[in-house]
Amino acid sequence: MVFSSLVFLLLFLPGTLIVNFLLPRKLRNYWLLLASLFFYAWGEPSFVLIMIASVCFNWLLALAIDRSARQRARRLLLILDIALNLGILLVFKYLNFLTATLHDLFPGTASLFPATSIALPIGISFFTFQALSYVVDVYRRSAKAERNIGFVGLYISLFPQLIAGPIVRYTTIMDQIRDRKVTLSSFSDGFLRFMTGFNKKVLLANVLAEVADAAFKANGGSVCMAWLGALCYSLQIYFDFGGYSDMAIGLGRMLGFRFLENFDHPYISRTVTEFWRRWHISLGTWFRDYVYFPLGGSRVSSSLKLVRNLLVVWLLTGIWHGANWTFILWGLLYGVVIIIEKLTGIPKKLPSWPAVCRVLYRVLTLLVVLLGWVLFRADNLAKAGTYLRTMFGLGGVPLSSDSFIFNVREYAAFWIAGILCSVPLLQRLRDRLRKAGGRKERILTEAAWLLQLALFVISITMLVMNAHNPFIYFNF
Amino acid sequence: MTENSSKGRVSIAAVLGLLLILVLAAVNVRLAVTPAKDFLAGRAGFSQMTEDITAAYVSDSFKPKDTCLTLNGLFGRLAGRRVYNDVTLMNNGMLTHGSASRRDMTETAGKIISLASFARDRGTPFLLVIPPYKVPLEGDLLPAGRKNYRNANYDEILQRLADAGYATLDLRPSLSATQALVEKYMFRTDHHWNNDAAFLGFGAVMDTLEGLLGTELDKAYTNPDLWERHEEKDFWLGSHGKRVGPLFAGTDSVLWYTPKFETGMSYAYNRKEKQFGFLKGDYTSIYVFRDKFNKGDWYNDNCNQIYMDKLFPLVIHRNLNAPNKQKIMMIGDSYCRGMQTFLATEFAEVHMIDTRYVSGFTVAQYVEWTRPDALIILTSNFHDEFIIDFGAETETAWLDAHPGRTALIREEELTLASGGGKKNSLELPVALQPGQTYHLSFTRAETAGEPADCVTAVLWEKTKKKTVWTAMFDIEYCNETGGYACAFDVPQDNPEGEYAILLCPGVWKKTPDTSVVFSGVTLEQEV
Repeated sequence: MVFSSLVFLLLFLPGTLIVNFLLPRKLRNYWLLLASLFFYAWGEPSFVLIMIASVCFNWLLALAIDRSARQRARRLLLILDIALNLGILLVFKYLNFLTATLHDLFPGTASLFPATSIALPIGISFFTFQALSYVVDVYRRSAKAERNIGFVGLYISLFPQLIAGPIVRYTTIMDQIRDRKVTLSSFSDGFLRFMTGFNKKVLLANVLAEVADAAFKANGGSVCMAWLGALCYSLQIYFDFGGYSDMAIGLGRMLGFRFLENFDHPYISRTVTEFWRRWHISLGTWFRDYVYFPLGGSRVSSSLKLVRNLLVVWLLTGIWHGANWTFILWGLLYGVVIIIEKLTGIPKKLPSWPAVCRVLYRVLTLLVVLLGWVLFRADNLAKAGTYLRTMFGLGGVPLSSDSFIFNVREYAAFWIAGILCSVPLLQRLRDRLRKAGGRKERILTEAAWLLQLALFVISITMLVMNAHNPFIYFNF
Repeated sequence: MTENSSKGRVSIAAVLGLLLILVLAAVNVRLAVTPAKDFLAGRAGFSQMTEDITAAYVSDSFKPKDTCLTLNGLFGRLAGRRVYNDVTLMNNGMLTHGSASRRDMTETAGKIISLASFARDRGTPFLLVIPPYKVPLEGDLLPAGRKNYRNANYDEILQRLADAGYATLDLRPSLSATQALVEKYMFRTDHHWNNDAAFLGFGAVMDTLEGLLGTELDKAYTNPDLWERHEEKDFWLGSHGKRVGPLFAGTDSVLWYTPKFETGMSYAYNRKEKQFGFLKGDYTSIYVFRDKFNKGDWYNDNCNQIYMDKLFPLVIHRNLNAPNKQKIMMIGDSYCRGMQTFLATEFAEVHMIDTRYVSGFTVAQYVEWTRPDALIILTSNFHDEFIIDFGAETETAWLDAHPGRTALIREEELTLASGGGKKNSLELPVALQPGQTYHLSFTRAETAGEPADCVTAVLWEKTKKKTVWTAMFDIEYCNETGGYACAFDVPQDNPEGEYAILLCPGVWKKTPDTSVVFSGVTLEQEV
């Protein structure tokens, strides 16, 4: 089930909310747990057992770690937990890729290691990382192990963030699980946030996907179409994933949970380093806290170790995104660029640069991101290479094409709106209004929300027209 | 994006949005009831339940689906969309297909030529008619960068037929060459020509047939002065319009013609096993279905169906009063709704086949059985679903292997008494063999008792009590013209089946209380 579907919006959500608020507080967590498992089982009835198994062994091992006084035992239990969580990921997400790669490299191994075709449980990367972070935090004594398996289950499977994040830390919501308050205004805020994310997904991401799909299907087709396709994909993935995060945060708020922000206008970033502080923040901080810092982070004795640490993080980031060489290369691309920025100190020096140079570097940052998205979107390395060559006019491709002429005009309203919505223009306007306060602020703010509501109605009509709109990050 | 800090306020937009969700949820929760009940009762698994509920929420049962489509179309228009939900908004505000690729029409043309050759070998001249198309021959009304190759595909078909020496009639130059013609003769929101164009096409077909048949035809009824033209504006949404709503590109008028002259005709139609019928009367009462449609029922009504209402695998029109006594066979689609009725005023018999629905016999077989005076193909659709294998080679091979016929029954008279109820019928005393072809004919049918306009021959499967096919005959017409004849192919997919031919008065399973005397009954088997 996806948030931007009629079944979720008009059946699951109202049903869940109504029962949640009718139940006494002490039963609400169990109801939400049941609803979340049902939500997951809707699309993956058999894989819900994997999630339940994940909840059980993570709960058990966290308790065991918490109760164990001996450091060696605690470490062994942690290693066991990490192995089990990563083992699940390995089998369900990476085994097909590993066996296929092995067969490509060593054809003789096909009989020893037969090809696999294991289906990928939706959201497995998200809930596995979430569960891992819980157990590691217990090990680090940042959090106490939760004795109530239902509460751990709720933390891991809570439907707002189950399928596509944000990756919520246990320490963020552990108090909220036991004690949370929902007021009319917080519920209202949550709904508005949900509505905003819904509109981003349906009206921007889904529509811009049409251009991106056309461009990538044609491997670019022409120079202009390739660039348009890359631009539209960059916007598509932002509004798809960012929109989903908005919906998740909004839903959480409606239920009394406050999740941390996951996106902060990443396309205004001045450096690639900054981009990853604004894009998929929960994943970036996860790798920072659970991989980078344990390796030593940037406080290491040599540049070589720093480079090693960064390469490990970005290799893992790429792998996390998918079982394909394109994702691995995409991760490593960022690794290399960030290493360069780190070693040259560009992020720190940038403010002192002349304005022209700062602008140029911002453009370069966007270019790196855009080209990275081409890698990310392509089905394989060969197609990525073809697409990138088309972008730069190599291989005798035409400058323009009928497809470009049509798509740039047909979708002008959407890619322009996409660009405008990806910068914090409206946000800053709203902040200024808020500072001014008064009746004018209230009227204008409400008018803006009513416009969002009108777009929400249109988004619903879009769903009626189009039955099929899965999230990009669904398969992570 | 940081969240909205509402300073403790509740947003009106949030309240309205939530209310909207609750109302829509309440109105549509019924869609989940049946799948949930099936799951709880063990009739369906969990996955089936989720699939059924998901499908129900995107089905026509979702409320208010029509309002959503209309609003969405308005949004699309305001957002400057020209290609929306697989429909293209042309520069003149009319809608056409989303796209049409350039195809190699060799195979398609080959199938048509094969049929044309088969017909020609039987002395039946062939004519291919290309109707007008929304995209004009001159000028470019499409959005920049969009291409539509249908006209090029049509050109290729015409050229290949002409090269093979067969007659063609291209109505595009006279009815859709320019933007002005398209706006005059095509529906704004539908892919069909309107009935003004169909009527003009009728005149052009008559002129061409005259040349093909090599005899002067009475074409009086092609004069529009003999017809009354009816038009009701802003009445319906066409096939394209239904995808984008009335606010995207407007709506269409419904228009139709009724004769001012006296008429009396009939038509018999087959649809499926239980859907067949016979209508007899004046032109307007049997062909025009205006009362079925309501103005403004945008998403349900298809006013292109004003003539004939439905499409059928086979329709046989008979007109004793027709000025021309020829038998015309037409293979066509929805473009032929009006055309077949216009031709039925001129010709004694018009046999209309829609190949998308026909089964139990091939087109070539039908040509062989009926030996029409002319064979016409009139369609806009040259995709595989319409241009099928017409069966010319198969039928030729069959006839070579079965050059003769053997008579199984020759009776001067067979009588069916009345009083047998709705399935009162006479079973011919022959057990039919699966996979064989039989020809039934009789010279006369006389009825006594309740009135019956027709008699019917039924191919009946006795063990499953199943109607395989029916042939309905206008008694007045057939008695006057000297005969009733039809042919049946007995299916071979049920080798254990017991097949028989039944004769009955009226329409099968609705037989009136009438006795019938069938004269000169002959049943032959191809051998």
